[in-house]
Amino acid sequence: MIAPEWTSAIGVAVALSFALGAPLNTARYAVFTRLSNHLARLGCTPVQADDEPLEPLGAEIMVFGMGRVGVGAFDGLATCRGDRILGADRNERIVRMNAAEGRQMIRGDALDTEFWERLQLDQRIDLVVLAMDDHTANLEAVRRVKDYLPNTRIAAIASLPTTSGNSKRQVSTSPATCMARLARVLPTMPVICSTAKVLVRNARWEVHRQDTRPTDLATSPSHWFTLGHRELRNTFHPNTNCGRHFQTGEIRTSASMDP
Amino acid sequence: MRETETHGPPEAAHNATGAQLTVDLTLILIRFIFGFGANTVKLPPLVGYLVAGFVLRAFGYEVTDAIELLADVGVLLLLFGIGLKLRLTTLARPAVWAGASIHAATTTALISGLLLGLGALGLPLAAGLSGQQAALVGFAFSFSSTVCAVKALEERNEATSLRGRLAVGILVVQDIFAVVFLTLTVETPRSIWAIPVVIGVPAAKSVYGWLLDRAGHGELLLLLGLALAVAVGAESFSEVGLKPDLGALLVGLTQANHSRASELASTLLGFKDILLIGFFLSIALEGTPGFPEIGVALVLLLILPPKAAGFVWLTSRFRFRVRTAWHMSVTLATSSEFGLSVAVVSVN
Repeated sequence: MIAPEWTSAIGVAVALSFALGAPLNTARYAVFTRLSNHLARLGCTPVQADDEPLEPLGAEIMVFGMGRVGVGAFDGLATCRGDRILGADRNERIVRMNAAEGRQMIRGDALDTEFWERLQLDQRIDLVVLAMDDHTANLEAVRRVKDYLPNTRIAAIASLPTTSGNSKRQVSTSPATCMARLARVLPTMPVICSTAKVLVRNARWEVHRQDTRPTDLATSPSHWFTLGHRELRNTFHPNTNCGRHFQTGEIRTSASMDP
Repeated sequence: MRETETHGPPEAAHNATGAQLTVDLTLILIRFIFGFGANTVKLPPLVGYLVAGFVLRAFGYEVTDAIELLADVGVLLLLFGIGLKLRLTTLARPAVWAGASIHAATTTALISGLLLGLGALGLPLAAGLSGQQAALVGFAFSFSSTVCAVKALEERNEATSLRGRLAVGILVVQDIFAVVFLTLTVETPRSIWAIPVVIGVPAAKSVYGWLLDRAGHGELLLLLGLALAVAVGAESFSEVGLKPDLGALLVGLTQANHSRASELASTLLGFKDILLIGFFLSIALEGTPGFPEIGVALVLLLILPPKAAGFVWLTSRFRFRVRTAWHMSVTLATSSEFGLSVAVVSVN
C-alpha cells in the first residue's frame, strides 16, 4: 500500500524520537517548573477526585511504611503526639486495615514524586519516619524528603551488614517495640535522627547515638540515633565508644529498654 | 544460526555458532560502552544503545536473529508486566479511551495533511502519496512508544501513580487500535482455533495463579513469568494468527489481582530491561535510509511537540491537573514501534 522507503523513514523517525524523548523525560520536572505559569491557564476545575491535592490533615509527623516497625513507631508517637501523626503506605489493603484500627492514614508511595507534589505540604511536619521494608526504598525516600521537606527530621530504618551468629543468646525484643519505645522519647529531645536496624531480628536492642554520619544517608541532622544491639556495637562503630554517648537522661531511658 | 544447525554439517554449525557468539559478545561490550557513555554525559542509557545501533549500521551491521529474539521477548515481557499492573477501570475512564481516540484521529489527520501539503511542494517520498497512503503513515506515526513510556515511568517509580496509569491506559488503547488495524488489513491465515484460544487462555486463570503460588521467590518465579508471557500467551496467540503481544498482555491481565503480581513484575523487571536493549538496537538498525528518508523522518519529528501538546490539552480537558497532564504527555511524546510494524505490514 505504501512505498517500502517509508519503513526506513518511519524507522529512523521512531529511533530519533526515542533518542529525543528520553532526555526530555529526564528534564520534564525542570521544564514543567519553567512552563507552569503558561500551562496553568489550561487547568479546568473541579479536578478529578483522585487527582486532587492531598491534605496532610494537620499532621506534624509522617510515618512511611506501615509494617511492624511503622505501626510500632506510629503508636509510640501517638502516645505523646496524639492525632498529629499520619501513616502512609502504598498498599491499599494496609491503608484500609490501619484506618479501620483508627490510625490516620493516607495512600501513597514515598518514592513517587507525584505523591509529594499532591501533598499540600506544611512545613509544620517536623518528623518523617521511614519504615518501609525495602532498604533501598528508604534510602531513596530520604532524598525525596530532603527535596520536599528540607528542614524536617528524618528517622529511618537502617540496614547494617551483619555477620553476628550468636543470635540464640539474645533476648528477643521486636524492632517494632524498640521503635515504639524510642519514638516516645524522640519528640521530647532536641536532636534528631533515629535509625533502627531490622536486619538483626530478635536481637537485644539498645539506642546509641552516632555522631559520624552514615555515608549512604547523607542528610544533615545534627545527630543520628541508631537502634543497635549490644553485641554488634563495636563492630558497627569501630571508632566510636558508643557507651560514652549515652549522655542525656532521655536517651538513657530508651537505652535501658532490654527486658 | 538455526538454519546452519539444522542443515549444515556439524563442524560448520559449530564454527558458525562460535563466530556468532563472538559477534554477540562484542555486541554486549559495545552496548555497555555506549550505554555507559550516555550515562556519563547524563543522558538515558537507551540513547547510548540507539547510538550504538546507528554506529553499527554505519559499519554495515544488520539485525541478527539473536537481536530479534531478545527484542521480541523483551517486548512480550513488557506487555505481560503491563497486564500485571493494569486495572480495567483505568481503560474505562473517558480521559483514556476518549482521549486516546480523539488524539489518534486528530494526529492522523494532522500528519497526513502535513505530508500531502509537503508532497504538493515536492518533498521526496511524500510527493507520490495518495490520500489513503498519507492517512496510513499518519496513523502509524500517531502512536506513542509503549517501551519508552514504561521505561520512563519505572525510572521514577511512577508506574502506579495516576499519571503513570493514565499514560499506560492510553498506550493500551493505542495498542488495541493497532491490533484491530492489523487484524482487519493483514491477510494472515487465521485458524478456526482462534476463538477457543482467546477464550481458553484467560479462562485458565486459576491454573496460572496456582502455579504462581508455588513458584517460590527465586529464578523459578522468573521462569514462570517467562513461560506465561512467551509460551502461554504469545505463542498460543501467534499459532492461531493473532498478535502475540496481545496474548502476553492478556495472560498478565488475568493475574493482575493475584497477591504476588507485583513481586512477579519486579522479578521480571531487570531481566526485561536487559532484553529491551536488543529492542533499541533493532530499532536503530531498521532499514537503510538514504537522504530522502532521513529528510522525511525529520519532518515527521516536527509532529512530536504538537502531539505532546495535544495530550496536555486533552487530558486537562478531562479535568486532570495540568501537572498530571504534563507529566503524562511527556512520557507519550515519542513515536511507536507499533507504528513501525503497521508500516512494515502496509508495505507488504
